[in-house]
Amino acid sequence: MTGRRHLALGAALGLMVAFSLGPFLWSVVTSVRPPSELTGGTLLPRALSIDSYAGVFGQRPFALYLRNSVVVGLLSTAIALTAGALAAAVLARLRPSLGRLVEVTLLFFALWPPAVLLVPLFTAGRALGLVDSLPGLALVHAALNVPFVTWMLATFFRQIPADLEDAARVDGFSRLQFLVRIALPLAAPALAATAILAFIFSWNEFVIALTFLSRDELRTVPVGIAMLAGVTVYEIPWGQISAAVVMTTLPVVAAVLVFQRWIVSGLTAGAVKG
Amino acid sequence: MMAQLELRGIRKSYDGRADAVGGVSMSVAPGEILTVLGPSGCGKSTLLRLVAGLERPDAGDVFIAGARATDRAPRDRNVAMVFQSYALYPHMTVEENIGVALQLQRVARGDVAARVRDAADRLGLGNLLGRYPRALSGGERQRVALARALVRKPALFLLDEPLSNLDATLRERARADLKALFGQLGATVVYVTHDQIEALTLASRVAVMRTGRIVQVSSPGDIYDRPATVFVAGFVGSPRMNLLPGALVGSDAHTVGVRPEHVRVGGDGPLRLAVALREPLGAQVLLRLRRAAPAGPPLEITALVSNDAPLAREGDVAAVTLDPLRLHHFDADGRRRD
Repeated sequence: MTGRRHLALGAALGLMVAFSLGPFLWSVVTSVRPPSELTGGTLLPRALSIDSYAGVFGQRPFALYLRNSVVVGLLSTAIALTAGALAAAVLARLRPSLGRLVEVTLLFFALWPPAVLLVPLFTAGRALGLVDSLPGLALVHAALNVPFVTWMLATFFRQIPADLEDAARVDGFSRLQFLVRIALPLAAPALAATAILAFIFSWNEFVIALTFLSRDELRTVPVGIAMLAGVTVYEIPWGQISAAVVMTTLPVVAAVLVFQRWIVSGLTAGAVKG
Repeated sequence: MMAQLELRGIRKSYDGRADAVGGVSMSVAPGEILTVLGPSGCGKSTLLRLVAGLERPDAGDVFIAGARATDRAPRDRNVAMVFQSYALYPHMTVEENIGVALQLQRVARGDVAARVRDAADRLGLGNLLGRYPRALSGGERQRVALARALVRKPALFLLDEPLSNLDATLRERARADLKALFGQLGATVVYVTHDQIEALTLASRVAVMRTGRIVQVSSPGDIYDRPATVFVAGFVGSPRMNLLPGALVGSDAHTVGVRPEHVRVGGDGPLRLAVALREPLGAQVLLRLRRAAPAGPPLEITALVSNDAPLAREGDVAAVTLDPLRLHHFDADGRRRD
């Protein structure tokens, strides 16, 4: 009975993994095919080639795109976490009825698709000189992330016992010192999880980056990939696109794996009340 | 001598409900340990929070060491507080927990280390400085909370039920240690508790609180021997004082109180009651005595008698006398009549 259930469970999991990872694996395989085999139709390449990678970095400014994405991602994450943590600290100590209202409102804005905001954002961005600037785009990404970050952190801050804050106030901590030296270290796991999600949002975001950045040397990776084109309009450089996709995905996967261990250890450390 | 803490007409209510603290005035002299005793919800913790500055009073003033502190933030009041939950910072070591307040006051690093060590040694925490709170026992956490308070050498110590999370044996020990410690330091302490033994054993004076007001402030002996109201009489003392309608025992007072240890069983007297229940307490026995219905209106009295007292079996009928010198007389409004 148990054996059969394990087998069924294993098969189901395997199916799920294959379904999720299949497209990515196909990209990996495509990225290492020699150009001649791209339309060959074999499942596995007969030879390995790094031509596609060399092309992406050599013929295209892909390294620059990566750098731009990292800058925008880190900057927007830092801004969103700072603003969100400050807002969450207040939100967590509001009267429950008022706090609930603010939270629902935040969630409402978090669920708003960015594309809907595109035109007003662009108009405002142009007026404020945020267009064609990486910090400008980072600011927009951060703004879109703030509701979600606030909501996540407020949930966590609310679990910090009120006594701890009272003790800190008597001990001489200011509100800001309490936030920086006590609440945030205790919220480290939540902070890490939130940071990853905020970073991934910015890393993947396409529409706003496309609209805000018109100069090629400022483009982020998702826009850069979309702009990869062959010599003629009839040619789509699948190899290079796949190589770019792999190059874009791996750093994020690595970051999540690194952080994940920290999140788990942080969770057990923080969950036990003093 | 100038009072270390003085409260004048302190009043506080939450969201328009009845006053949590309603017009409290009192003072605590330097070196005095004042315990605030009362049932849960009587406002004693709110009172402590008002002194600490964690709450603002709706009316009244707080004076600490002679200076008006009503508008000062908690950190500018030079008070230290110990919480029932200890409220240790989970991500800091014992050493950091104890030293962080000094660090925030910009005390020189070497001085911080010396004072932390001194406080830790006083409380037997010397070899635990590198530990995190999660690796400590309940008693150790309690002592860290205490060390965190006394390292600051505050004008006033505020303790909110600091022992109620400890188990009974540990609590007794910790109580004695606390008393010795505060005696050595000559510290001024306001100690909130619902445990009357703690309140009576630790205090120079006890303030009994009920529904936001202080009913009596007096020495522990006075609180026990001369309770000011029926409430204090019934609340302080275990087993509880007998509170009887005056008319039933031939008095013109509204209520007559007598402690169980002042009820004599045996001998002769007009009042004859049957032993309804016998509860051995070790050296003594608690007897619940009841008047059989036909003989008069129902009457129940508890008596605390020695273990080997005669006529102490269930069903025995005995003459019961109340020590006339130990009777407490109260008026209809519950106030003591002398």
